Amino acid sequence: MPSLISPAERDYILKGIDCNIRADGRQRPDYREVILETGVISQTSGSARIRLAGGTDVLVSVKADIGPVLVDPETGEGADKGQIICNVECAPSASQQFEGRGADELNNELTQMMTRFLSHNTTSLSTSSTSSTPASNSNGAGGINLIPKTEVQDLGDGNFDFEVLDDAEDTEVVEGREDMPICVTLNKIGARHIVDASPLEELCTEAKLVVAVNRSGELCGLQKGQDGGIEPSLLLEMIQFGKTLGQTLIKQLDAKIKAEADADMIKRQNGQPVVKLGFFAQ
Amino acid sequence: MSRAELLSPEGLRIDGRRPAELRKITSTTCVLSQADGSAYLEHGNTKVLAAVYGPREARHRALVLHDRAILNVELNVAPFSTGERRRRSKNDKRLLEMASFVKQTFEPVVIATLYPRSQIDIYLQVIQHDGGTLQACINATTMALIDAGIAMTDYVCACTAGWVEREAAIDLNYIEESSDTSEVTIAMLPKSSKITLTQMESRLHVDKLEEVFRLAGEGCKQMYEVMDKTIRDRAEDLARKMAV
Amino acid sequence: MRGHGTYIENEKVVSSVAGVVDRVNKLISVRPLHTRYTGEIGDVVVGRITEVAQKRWKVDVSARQDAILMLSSINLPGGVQRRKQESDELQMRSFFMEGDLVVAEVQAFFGDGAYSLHTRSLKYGKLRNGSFISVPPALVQRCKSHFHSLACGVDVILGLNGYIWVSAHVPQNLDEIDTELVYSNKNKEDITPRDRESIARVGNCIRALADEFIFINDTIISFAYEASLQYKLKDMNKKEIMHAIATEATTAVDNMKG
Repeated sequence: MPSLISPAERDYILKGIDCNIRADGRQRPDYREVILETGVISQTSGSARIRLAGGTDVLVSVKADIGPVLVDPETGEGADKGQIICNVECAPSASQQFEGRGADELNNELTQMMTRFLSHNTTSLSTSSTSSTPASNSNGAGGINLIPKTEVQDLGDGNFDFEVLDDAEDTEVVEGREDMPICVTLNKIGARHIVDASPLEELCTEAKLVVAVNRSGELCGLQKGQDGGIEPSLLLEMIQFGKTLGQTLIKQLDAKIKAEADADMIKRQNGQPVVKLGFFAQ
Repeated sequence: MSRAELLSPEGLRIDGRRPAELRKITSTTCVLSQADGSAYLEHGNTKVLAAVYGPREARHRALVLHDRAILNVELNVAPFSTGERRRRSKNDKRLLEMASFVKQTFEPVVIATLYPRSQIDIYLQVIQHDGGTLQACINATTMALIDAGIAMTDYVCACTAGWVEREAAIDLNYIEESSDTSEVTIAMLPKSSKITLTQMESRLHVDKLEEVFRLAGEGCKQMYEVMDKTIRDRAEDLARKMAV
Repeated sequence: MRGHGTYIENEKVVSSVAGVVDRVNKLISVRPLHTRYTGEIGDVVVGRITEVAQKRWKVDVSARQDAILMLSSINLPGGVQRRKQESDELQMRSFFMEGDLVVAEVQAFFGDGAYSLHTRSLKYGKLRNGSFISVPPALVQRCKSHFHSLACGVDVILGLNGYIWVSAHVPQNLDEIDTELVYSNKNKEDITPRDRESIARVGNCIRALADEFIFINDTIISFAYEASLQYKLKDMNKKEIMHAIATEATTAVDNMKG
């Protein structure tokens, strides 16, 4: 994938975005197709794999561990709440730029961002002092544009065994997952903004804005990246747009997860094996 | 973990296998659209992804060889790959050592003189770790290199073997590896039966050596069958599509 | 006799790659299906400038090494036959800069296998007014011309190295080309939204064909374009639709041949 772009292409992309026809025919707010699958890694409490049609590949996993919890010494709060530690890694198999230490900057940026966004969301589990640890590895083409805090992470203590589904002690879904936020990344190009930028569009981006919003429409986090500036009026517009888009995405994700869980349930009832495609899916 | 549990009186191992039986192996190539060649390999629960970029323009002029390609291997282990979450830095000595093993294994096999002044990059990603990581990495790299159309003199098939309780066994899983069994990893060229890598970390009695090696060789041959089939199927599939 | 993709062991010819066997008279070679671009002299390629060096540019053509474009191999503005002056060497970036896309022809090989390109004809040179797509090199076949003008008003340049340029149609009268503007970076002013849609549509068709590993030439692109007209432009990114378009295009080509 090119890390260079010619002035002629840049101009073409800029003007295209201006009149709402992007290089691959999408309009400004259109996402590429997303393929989602949960439960792909068997040794974790919960995991998911997301693929965007262009070739961006993200692997997320959640592990629930026992560990110490920060307790506010004055009020004693926090003893019954959990903690989330994040780790993001961009694998060198993803792109030439990530080999050696090339990905360190991007890793750190994403890790810090995700930690901030998620730590406000205290998942109160019925057992005290537990910390959930999402870690994600991305095989990305030309930049990660959509960082979904996918609800699949929240299949926290996932259902391993069908028979003990009703046994509340062994497996339980992490509470508070309804509040998990979703991130939408908006790229500012020219005087407009787009979502889900392709690699060439990324190269034309002056500034990036990541908006984290949860189901009820509350803003959970905001982060601006890259070195261009955003006019205040455009900024407000982008945040608003990100918020609406985020809520729509949450609904779509919910529907997809539910559909997958239903399909799995039916398969189990029919005695068919539930086979996770993982990397074998095309 | 008491040693008595590793091998049952009937001769079955912890996961129900016989000593000379490999785990379930699934593999596929061409999983990454960006890479020139890629492969994904599963040995039971050990999952490895290999990506090959190249031959391409070498990035560091100083390292370029005028008459052959240079091989570069980078190994990455995901933090969620083992039972407990562990963050390993890129410079972890163990990882670097494994990466250099992979490099040494492939240097005599890849016909690098065909690609002067260029670089072949191999990136390995361990997604799940259940024993036998080095063997999985080597096997995945073989398939990825073939997928990238890079000339090699032969496949490289790897297999672990060790002495579990009373018998030699192959393809040890994590539990078997971490208990007191000795383990050796062998990489072999199936056509000539030549061995390109031997790596052992624990103690093994010299008398048992021959049996373990022989069994490992058998395991490599079995790996070869599986890998060859996947590659051939894929090649036929592609050839059919392109013969429009 | 043995050709590419094989080696000799114990007096037997053994294949060193996974691929298709080509037998021409006594020459046996094996062609890998999934490999970097290997070119012949006279190939038309599209490349991106990666570096500006002393009297030459390095061009990424998705091959094993970057190709070289010498200053002496390009047309200098101000007349095709203008002699090279010293000031040209100092102003190389005014011709081609890093990141520019060029269409050129392979002139020769260097000793180590790198290609030497030239743009000495007026149909070669810097690319404008469109967008860039990359497909596996094996999918672009050699044919008489690689510059195609499709019926929908879109020009397509199929580089044999898998780099493809889709652009708005610019009526070109080769006699009247103003050599001053050959190296300009400005796109033409009047690219209409209609044009953009057609360009995007053709681009998506090419991507759909590449995903299914189908050979790419101008006929199949036209068929794919017609097959795609029934779908909305922004739906063309979906897998099923891309698959449907590709299948329809292949059937149309088969019908035409059969």
